[in-house]
Amino acid sequence: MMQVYTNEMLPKTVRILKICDETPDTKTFILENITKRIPKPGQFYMISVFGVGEFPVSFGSANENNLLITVKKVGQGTGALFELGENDIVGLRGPYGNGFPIEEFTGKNIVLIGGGIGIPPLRSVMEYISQHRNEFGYVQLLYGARSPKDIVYKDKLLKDWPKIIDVKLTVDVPDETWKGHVGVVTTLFDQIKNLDSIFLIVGPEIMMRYSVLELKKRGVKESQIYLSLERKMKCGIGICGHCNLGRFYVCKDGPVFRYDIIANERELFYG
Amino acid sequence: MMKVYKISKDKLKAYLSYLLNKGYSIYGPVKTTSGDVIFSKIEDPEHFVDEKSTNGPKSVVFPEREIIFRYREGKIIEEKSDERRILFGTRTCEIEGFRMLDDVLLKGKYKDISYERKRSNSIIVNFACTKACKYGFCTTFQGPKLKNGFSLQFIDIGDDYLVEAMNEELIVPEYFTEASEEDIKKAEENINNVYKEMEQLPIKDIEKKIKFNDEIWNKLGNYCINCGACNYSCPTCFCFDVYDVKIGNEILRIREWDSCLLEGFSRLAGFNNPRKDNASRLIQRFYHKLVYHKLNYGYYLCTGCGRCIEQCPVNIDIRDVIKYFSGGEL
Repeated sequence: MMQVYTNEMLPKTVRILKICDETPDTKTFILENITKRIPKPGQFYMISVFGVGEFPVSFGSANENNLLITVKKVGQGTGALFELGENDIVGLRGPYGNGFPIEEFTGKNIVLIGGGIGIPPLRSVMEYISQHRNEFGYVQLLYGARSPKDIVYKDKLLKDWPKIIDVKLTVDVPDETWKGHVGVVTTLFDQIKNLDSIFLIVGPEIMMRYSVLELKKRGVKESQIYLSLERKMKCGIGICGHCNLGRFYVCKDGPVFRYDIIANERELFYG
Repeated sequence: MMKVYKISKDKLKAYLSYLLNKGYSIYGPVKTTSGDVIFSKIEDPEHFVDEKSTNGPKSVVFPEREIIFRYREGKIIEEKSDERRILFGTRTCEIEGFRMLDDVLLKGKYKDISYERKRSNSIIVNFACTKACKYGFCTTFQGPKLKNGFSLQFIDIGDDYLVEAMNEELIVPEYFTEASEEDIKKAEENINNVYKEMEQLPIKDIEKKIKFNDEIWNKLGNYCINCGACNYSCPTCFCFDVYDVKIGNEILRIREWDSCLLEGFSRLAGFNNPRKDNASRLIQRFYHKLVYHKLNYGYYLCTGCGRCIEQCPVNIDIRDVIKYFSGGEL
């Protein structure tokens, strides 16, 4: 059959159905899923705020009608998105990228490691795991936030997920209400139950660097580790050249990479 | 089957007039009043010159700046252009660049539709070089003559051009006559002269010899002023930026050539940047050309046109980099 190509750079216009505050600088937006396509865990979309620009955002949860994204206000694009309200229009393209090869993890133990705003892609994995819980072995989620008020998806982390998996939280800086663990996320690693697990890491590059280092110290093989990377992206479809990581394009060859494949890339773990 | 004709140099401008009168838009090398040769729209056949232009034809099929869509009253209106045009007087290094752009922009999972429209609407009339240009090193790669990818290819044989025709679309009996064996031989000789005049670079296995950890990158980084002229003049550079502009009640989404030598190229929100210094940006440029593209597509992302050398205000020279990593001095 002949493939019909459309102009992939044209977004669809979609409505913001609902906005909720997650933390002082992070909000969750529920968008119309106009194409009805269900993305793979770990894929991303290009979101447009018309008049300001377009930027890549991982999704956290999706069904035929809704698409949930969670965004931290860090720059112009996200700043402009924060100015919008319910029923306002944004542009949407995607889903793009490879996502996690989750079917390959069937029967295995899994450890999800997240830092700060790195949690939405792990939420998309968690949604898959909760729907297919029996297909996986022991599942742990280790999540670190700067402080208790910076924890994203509190309801999921404190109530929903502990019912089906082992969740461990930590904060760098506690407040008077915090009774849990204190320290960066790697200080939770002694509580990892199975070192034969598949490790999925999403967070700031520096957090991923030390996580990989600590896992390798414990004898975890590079091929057991998957990272989801973030780079500047302008097209999302492998042609604009901005997200080059060595010979790879993070947008089309990633954003998820098995660590052994990119371990020697000199621009990995910058900062 | 390729056919071979010839056309007298005296008739070239009349032929161009004929094509213009036929209603074609024609783009080619034009000499400006300041003496520069610029690849641009030909309005008057007298302006055409058989010379290599400063900029080349890339911007005709992949404009420096173009509107992707207009956003007005909640609606997205796509910009489409489908002008049928002739690129008359391109050079082999430029059209070889098109072939490389095709691989990246048209042969992946997603197609660059805007590029495809312009590319497929462009008829190529190539002029193979018969003299080595000052900075060029095309004989290290494909050489001065195209094997395919054109409608007509002109080769200077003195008073005439030998004309190779891949199809008869632009052949007009009034201007073209049969070429003799002697004409064909003369054209071959002239092409071979370029091979004799030009230095061949030690390009073989450069992707295995080049190194990140080398003083050369800091040395070149100290000179580079991030002007981006190398990228802008390159027939194979394809990186682009995308941004919005508000004009009245309309929002335009624009795409514009970008340059990997600019600080903002890889800078993320929050001022995180995986490429913080000139050295790492130069590594990206040269590695993309000499390593990454070779690994992904099997050939170097360079056609030896020499424009990046000619345009660089601080004399950064890709030939020196190739020679240096092949065991030479800098």
